[in-house]
Amino acid sequence: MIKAILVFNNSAKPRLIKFFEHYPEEIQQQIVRETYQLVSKRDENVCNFLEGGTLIGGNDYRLIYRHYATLYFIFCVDSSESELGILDLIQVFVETLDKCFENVCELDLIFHVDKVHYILQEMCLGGMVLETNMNEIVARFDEQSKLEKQEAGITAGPTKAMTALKEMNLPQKIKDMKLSDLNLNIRF
Amino acid sequence: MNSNIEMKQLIIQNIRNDIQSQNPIFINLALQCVVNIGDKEMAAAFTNEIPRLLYQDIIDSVKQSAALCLLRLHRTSPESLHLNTERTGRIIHLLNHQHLGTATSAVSLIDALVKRNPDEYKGCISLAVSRLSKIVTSSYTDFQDYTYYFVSALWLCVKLLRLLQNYPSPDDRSIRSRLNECLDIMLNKAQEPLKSKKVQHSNIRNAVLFEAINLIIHMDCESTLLVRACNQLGQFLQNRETNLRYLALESMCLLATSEFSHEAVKKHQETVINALKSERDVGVRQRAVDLLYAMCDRSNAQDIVQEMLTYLETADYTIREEMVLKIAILSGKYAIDYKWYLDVMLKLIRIAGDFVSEEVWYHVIQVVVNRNDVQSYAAKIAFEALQAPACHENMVKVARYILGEY
Repeated sequence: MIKAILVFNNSAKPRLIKFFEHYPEEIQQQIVRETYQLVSKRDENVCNFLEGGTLIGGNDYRLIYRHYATLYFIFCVDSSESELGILDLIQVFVETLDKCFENVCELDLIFHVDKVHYILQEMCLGGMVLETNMNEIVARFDEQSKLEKQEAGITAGPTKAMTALKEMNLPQKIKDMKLSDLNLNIRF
Repeated sequence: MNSNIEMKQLIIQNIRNDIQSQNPIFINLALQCVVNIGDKEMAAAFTNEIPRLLYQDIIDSVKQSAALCLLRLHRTSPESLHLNTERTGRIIHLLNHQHLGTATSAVSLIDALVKRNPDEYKGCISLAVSRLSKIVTSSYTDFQDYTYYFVSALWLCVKLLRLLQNYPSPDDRSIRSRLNECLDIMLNKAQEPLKSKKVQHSNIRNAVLFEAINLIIHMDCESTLLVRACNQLGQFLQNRETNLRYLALESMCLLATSEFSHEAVKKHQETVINALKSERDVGVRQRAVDLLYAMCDRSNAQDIVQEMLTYLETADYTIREEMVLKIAILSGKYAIDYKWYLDVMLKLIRIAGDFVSEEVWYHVIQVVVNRNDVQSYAAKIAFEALQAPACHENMVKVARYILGEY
């Protein structure tokens, strides 16, 4: 199972953080710092696996990472996943991002963080690998963007999502609302 | 969220409505929500609805999510999930599902269920083997969407191989020969020239291969396959890719414990020792140490201990303690000559005194006390060791005891 997915740049600025298990925010930040320490001092041509730090869960967990230009993509997985498989999943993830954003760069991750989360949700469901077929993911992503354009009124901004959340007792509201917005708000 | 019980009930009710609706979009979103919250209450609330989705007549992507959703709930609270025989049968049959994504997530689910209750799911062995052989024998163009750099259905393959590792080698002769045939083909494929120069291609091809090798090691009964696997790993040890060397060392550790392939592993001793000396990544060096430890037996103990001692002088601080323990165990276990043992141990204390635990040097003294014939030799080398300009505290302790007694 995947425990966490971290993306940060060369100067330790986190760009995408997704934990599939609950950690308090402080610990999350410590984990990011610790992981950065572990990963950033490694040479270019050493191997892509290393034993996880103490915070993220000891011996059974492994960090599998890839370094692309300015970004580190790090997956923390337990022994039930195949290492090379995950390495490949990172590649699929990055290639998908590249297809969705056309020449993805760090700025895309900053300004379209919501979309990056959609893509991630297509690939991983609660820490398990859901879909590895790139065309499928891209197709879903395009559908999503199309819907978004149609319903611009409903998902216009996070403030609207918040008000929708407050009026949760109306079942219809939930149906209209996008689930990803709901997630982000109730998780933390 | 947790404090507000009333709110939670409302949410659960709403999610239930969505799951029971006919619209696949609603169902999928509801499943996403359940997975992301994924706590005990969710597991208790949906223990009936979600399994039902698996065999209802709905589109594949819903089934795909439902399988993973069930897996998540199973992980949070295994006791709340009850599946009767009819249901288990139906879940097992998802392995044959023609939609690859659904089959892949079903394998993940079955793998978790099998770990809890292997007997109930025995039926999945034959299905898994036949599915595997279908993938292996067909050409990669048959799985257009799931083919990635010429390897078909990577995740399904890997997961099926993992699933089979939960059981011993199949009893049924026809299934077993079919499985062996598959593994044979997989090993053969590794010998083919690469179809693409890209690193991704070799990565995923080897992902399947490593999983196949792990299964071979797990079954531990086909000596020809084991030896072939070992030779393949030996090739990887000299590969340019650090990742492959790392994994090869790790898998070889397992191979060394099998009686069929122990000798084959020993052939690579020199390469492994080289890796210890030249590898730049401490993780890889640590695997090399592990492998040396695993392949050690009476015939090569002296060489290996010697090499490990040499390496210890320059080893990273993070792995020294473990190495000291390994050297101590190996030299104790395979010592033919007590003089040799004492030499090794005193050298060990001299090189890495900080990392020598009390049990280790107690054991040295125990050996000296029980063997009259080495006492004079021990006193002599202990005295010599003390002549050194700087002595570690542990060395002083050992030498003090030996010199004091004899």
